[in-house]
Amino acid sequence: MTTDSVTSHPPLEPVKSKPTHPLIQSQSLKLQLGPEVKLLPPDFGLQAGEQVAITGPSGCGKSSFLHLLSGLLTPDQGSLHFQGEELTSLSAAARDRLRASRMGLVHQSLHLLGHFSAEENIRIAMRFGGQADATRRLSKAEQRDRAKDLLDRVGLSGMAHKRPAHLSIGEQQRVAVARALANRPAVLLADEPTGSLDPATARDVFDLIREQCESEACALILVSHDLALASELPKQIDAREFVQRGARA
Amino acid sequence: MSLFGMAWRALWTRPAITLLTLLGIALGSGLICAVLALGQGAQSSFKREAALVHLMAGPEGSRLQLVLSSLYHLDQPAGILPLEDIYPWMQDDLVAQAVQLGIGDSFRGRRIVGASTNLFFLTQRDHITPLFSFAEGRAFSGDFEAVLGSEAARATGLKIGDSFMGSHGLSEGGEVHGDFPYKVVGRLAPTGTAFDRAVYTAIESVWAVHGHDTHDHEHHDHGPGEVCLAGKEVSAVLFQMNAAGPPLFAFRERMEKEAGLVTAMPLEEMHRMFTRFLRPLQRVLLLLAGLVAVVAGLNILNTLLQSAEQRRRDRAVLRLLGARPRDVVSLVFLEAVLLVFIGLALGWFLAHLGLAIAQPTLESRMGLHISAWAPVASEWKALGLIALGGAVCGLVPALMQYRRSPLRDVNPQA
Repeated sequence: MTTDSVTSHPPLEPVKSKPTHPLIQSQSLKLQLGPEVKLLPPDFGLQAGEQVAITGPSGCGKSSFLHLLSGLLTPDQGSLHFQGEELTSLSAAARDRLRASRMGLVHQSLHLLGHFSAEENIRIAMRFGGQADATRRLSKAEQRDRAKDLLDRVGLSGMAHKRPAHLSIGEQQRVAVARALANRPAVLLADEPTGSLDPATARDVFDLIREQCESEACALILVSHDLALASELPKQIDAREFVQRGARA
Repeated sequence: MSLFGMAWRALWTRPAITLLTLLGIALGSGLICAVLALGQGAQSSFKREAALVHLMAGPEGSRLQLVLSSLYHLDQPAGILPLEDIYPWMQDDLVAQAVQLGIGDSFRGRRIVGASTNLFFLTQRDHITPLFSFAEGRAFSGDFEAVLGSEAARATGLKIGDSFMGSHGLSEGGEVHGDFPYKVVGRLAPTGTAFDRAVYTAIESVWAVHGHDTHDHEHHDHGPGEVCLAGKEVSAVLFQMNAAGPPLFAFRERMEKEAGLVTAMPLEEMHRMFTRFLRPLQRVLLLLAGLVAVVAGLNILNTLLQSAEQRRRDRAVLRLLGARPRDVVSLVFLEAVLLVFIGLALGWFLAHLGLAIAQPTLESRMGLHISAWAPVASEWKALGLIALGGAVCGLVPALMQYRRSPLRDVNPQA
């Protein structure tokens, strides 16, 4: 994008378009959800390693946009390219593979698997990532090493064998971040990752996500209604326009 | 982590429900296994013994009673038969061994069977290997000497050199023949047949106890080498023959027509008994066990549907992590398969453990020699059918998962 999409707060930085293939490129996306038509960012682009925040109140289409990007939803209209590949023309299975191997997802409601330990949660992501893309397949020993490394980096050394129920909410979100990065994704899609955390923990998790994305050379799209945190990212998109545009359409 | 490992872990997230479901499957399959193993074991046990003796002859009564009373020691003898009526038939060239039996007394619930000494010449089905061997001691040779069958030795507690007195009748509490003490001179090795359950003595001793040989031999004219048959009676005669098939059938027919004897071929009688009485009973039991298995199957379905409902979010998360729909289906199905197979294995084990525990009682009270742990072919078929039913039950929730949107389950408001 692009975007010059204008938000009322905080001030947006100008978008620097690059001549090379963007990591993600969408045009004229239109999504029908029930009676509501959402016109998602008409033109959106994300370069490798870039970090962008999408802000706006609930129901304005922030999460829907992430679901489109991750291939969980398909647009009714428009084009969406990921690393030069047209997502809308891929089968559901191919989109699943792409999501497993090249995208990391973090959600507000954690979504850890309760009957697996922190390390196992990460290794399960590696298992399916390796299944989706053989080049990312790791041996069991490599999986263990990588999981341990990720847990160390998110500050959970020594908690590899704890199940989510035995971790605090903040610790669980850290596991979720580590899991999202397990397959060295090209982009991390974070949907309100700090939404259920107290301000101090939210700050920790936010910083952690940014740091880890930078150290993994992973782009970040962060959906948040926390304008203060979002404003710290180099680029912001105001999602209120999504629905407004839809309404006009 | 393999899908198998994940399914295994998922199974034990709700241990109480999993254990109850397993118990239900184990109960249904275990009952089926027990009924089949018991039926098969009883049939082969009876047939094993029935095959040892080609033909039996006895007094007027039913053929089945003759076989059950004199071969299996399970029924009262129909009466007695003058030895002279049957003796000529025992001398026929077709006859390999004809063992006279006199049954009527018992000791501590075990029958005292008077037998001619050629009892110990009976062979196994190969007609060569002797049926009996002695664990200790020797065969009876004189009056009131007794040889213990292996199970009778265990049940009565008698040992070589012990003396005991028989009581009249085949149940405990009969009149004790106090003037005729028996002395134990031998103990037989187990044969795995009903022969193990009796105490054996010379038939002459039984005649003496019951006063059947009281006529005066001094004033009775016997030729040289002739056997005096007067006053002697038998409960039955067991025949091992030199030939089977048509000659045996013809021999039997002549015995019945010419001498008016009741004869029975144990194999034929046992087959008839199984067909007429035991098989229908077995079918009823199988039907009941089958109903239990169906209930267990519905329980599997219920457990898996509940599990599918409760873990919708987890499975949606797996989809978000890249699990294909077929991975999720496989997980649900594997869970069902694990439940079914563990339940079936548990059922088989419990059924056979039950048989092993009941084995001594079955052997001593009913004469059933069952190999408690031996696999039975019909069991595998039944277990296979239950497994198939369980797998079908597992497919229902598995396929329901196939087309579920992970987005809806992971984020219900989406």
